[in-house]
Amino acid sequence: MSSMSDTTSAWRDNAVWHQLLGLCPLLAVTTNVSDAVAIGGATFVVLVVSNVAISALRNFIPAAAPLPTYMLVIGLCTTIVVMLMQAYAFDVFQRVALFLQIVVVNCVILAHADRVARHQTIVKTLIDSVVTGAGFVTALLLVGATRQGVSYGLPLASLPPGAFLIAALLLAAKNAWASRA
Amino acid sequence: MSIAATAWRLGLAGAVVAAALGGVDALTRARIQANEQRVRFVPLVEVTGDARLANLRGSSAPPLTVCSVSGAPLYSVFVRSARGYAGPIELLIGVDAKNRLTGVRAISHRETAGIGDAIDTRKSLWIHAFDQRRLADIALIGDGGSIDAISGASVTSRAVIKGVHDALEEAVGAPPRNCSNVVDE
Repeated sequence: MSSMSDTTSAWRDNAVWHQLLGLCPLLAVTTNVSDAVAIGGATFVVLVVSNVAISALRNFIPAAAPLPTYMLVIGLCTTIVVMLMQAYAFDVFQRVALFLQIVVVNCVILAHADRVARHQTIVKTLIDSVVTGAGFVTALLLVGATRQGVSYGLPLASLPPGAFLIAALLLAAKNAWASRA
Repeated sequence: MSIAATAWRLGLAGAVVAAALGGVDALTRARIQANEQRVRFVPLVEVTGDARLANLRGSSAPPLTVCSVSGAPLYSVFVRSARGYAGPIELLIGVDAKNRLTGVRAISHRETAGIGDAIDTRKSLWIHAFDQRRLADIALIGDGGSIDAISGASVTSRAVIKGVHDALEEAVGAPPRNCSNVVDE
């Protein structure tokens, strides 16, 4: 994970399939594509905005207490997204409310703040968080689409055990692809 | 950096965040309240089939008795918990002034996906079988009533039927209740 500043963070170092971060939303909100899009989109916005803000503040953030500062910034971004969705996308909000509020503790965002945003310039952070966020959204979409598609013939796919099985099969497929001769 | 400087910066960050949240809250509060009001009575519209109920004021927590402006009762709405196959099934039940069911909805349940979850209107129209029924109809066809069982889910079907039946029986036997909400004509 030395070089995070190129497109490898979307695919090879994908937050979900390589670092196994953000598995809680990956398993919980992916029963169908539209919920996966809603949570993926919200996470993407919070990831990019909070990381750019943390990068801009990197010389201000006290070295003795970086984590509380990250949480303040990420919490602020998440709460603003929650309020905006309640005001302008209320129907979507009602379906995903619980998972929207816990975007604040998404490990992908915090890990990115600590590994990239605190060290890099605003521009590099912006590019990197867009790529990482795109990788996360793609992972949610992939699991969501697979579960929704399979659940018509196999209702298990839309239940929690189905989430584990399908995410595991996709991870195995990714590993098989990555380690091909 | 000294502890004082760290604390000062954290405090400043907290203050800025609080101010930003206050600002966004002020901008969105009116819209959010309007949205919440818009959906508050949607379940009541569902179980009564009467779109006018979307504009009710006052409490939206059952039991409710919705009356016309002249004070005549139009609908009673109850919640009832039934013991399903996989846990409690919470039912919202609408009854008109002639003790006829206007509609039933399962507002929360844990019934098996693909089988017992047919009580959910997102999965199946089964629960509409209760619409316009009277107390005597509310039993399985095999037991002399008019309701078909969900295939493969007789425990779930019987649980819902018993819940609706008991709630309606209580409503029929109960004295007239005070109006809780009034419909604007």
